[in-house]
Amino acid sequence: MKLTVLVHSAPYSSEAAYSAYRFTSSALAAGHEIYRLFFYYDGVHNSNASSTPPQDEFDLVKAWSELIKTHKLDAISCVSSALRRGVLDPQEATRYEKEAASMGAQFVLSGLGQLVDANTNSDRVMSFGA
Amino acid sequence: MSTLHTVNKTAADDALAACLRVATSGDSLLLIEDGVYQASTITGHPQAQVLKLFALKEDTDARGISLPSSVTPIDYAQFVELACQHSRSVSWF
Amino acid sequence: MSTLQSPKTITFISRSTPYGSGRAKACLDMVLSAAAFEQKINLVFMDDGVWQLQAAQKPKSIDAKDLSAALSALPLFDVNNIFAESKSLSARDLDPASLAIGVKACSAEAIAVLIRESDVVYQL
Repeated sequence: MKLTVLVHSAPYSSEAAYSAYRFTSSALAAGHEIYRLFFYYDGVHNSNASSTPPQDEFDLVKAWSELIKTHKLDAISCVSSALRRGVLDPQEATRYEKEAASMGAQFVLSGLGQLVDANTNSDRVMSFGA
Repeated sequence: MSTLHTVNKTAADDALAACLRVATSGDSLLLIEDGVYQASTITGHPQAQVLKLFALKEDTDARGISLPSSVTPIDYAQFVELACQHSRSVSWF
Repeated sequence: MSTLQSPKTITFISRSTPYGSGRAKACLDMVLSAAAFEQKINLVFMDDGVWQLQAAQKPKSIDAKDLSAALSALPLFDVNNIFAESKSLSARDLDPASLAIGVKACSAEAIAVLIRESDVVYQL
């Protein structure tokens, strides 16, 4: 099946983002297609490559990035959520004259229209939030 | 045509109550994260009688929670299967 | 983006207060974007979400945008299926007749039907 996973929550603030990661990994392991990962609201923090947890803790941002890279997933961070929370790609950082562009290279900034598209083109949408 | 509901909150939140008001016969309810703390009390809800009840094993193990026989433990792989078997999902959080 | 020739039925269940968190606004933004792509939309207020419907909100006092004003614009975007659960309204002493916007007060059973008829359901 074609699945879309919607993530509303930040890493470490709640378990939800981790659950979304485990669900996505398990779906891929079972041979399902992930049509899109959509990070919304506080979920955009999952795309903040500056996240630096202690070495003995699970690095969720790194885990997402590796999963996206390995399976060539379409991973979108909602642009309006991300800009508000300071998760910018180099283009947006330049445009708004900000010092840092912390969004991971595996993620793409785009709008909620991509979630509407995912509704249409996925068999199932699974949401995770806190 | 049935729906998979997930709930990830304890009884201090009204997420489960809301879910139980609108879940209907044949739907499945999966307790995840802190929702697993409601596994032992959920069976007392009259509305829960018509639902298939599950709890995510990874989350019950993590919290040291044991399940009543009416709540089926499932792992992440089975969670994915459950999501595919239902027409839609509602995540109550 | 792929073409969106076949609109989906999407139900949004909004269960959060308007200003205490960003969830209500996030839900409304999802509704508006689905409306822009001409999806079939149901918007349902439950639990604390019904506080979004309280009349006379003046959120300028906390430098916030008026969410109820944004809600009142929904019919302009062809979002007309707007419901509030009666039980949630009465539990908060909210009179369905004197809310900030016109909504259909409905039972939990009616919400169950909306869910069953939906392709996708979002709750936040």
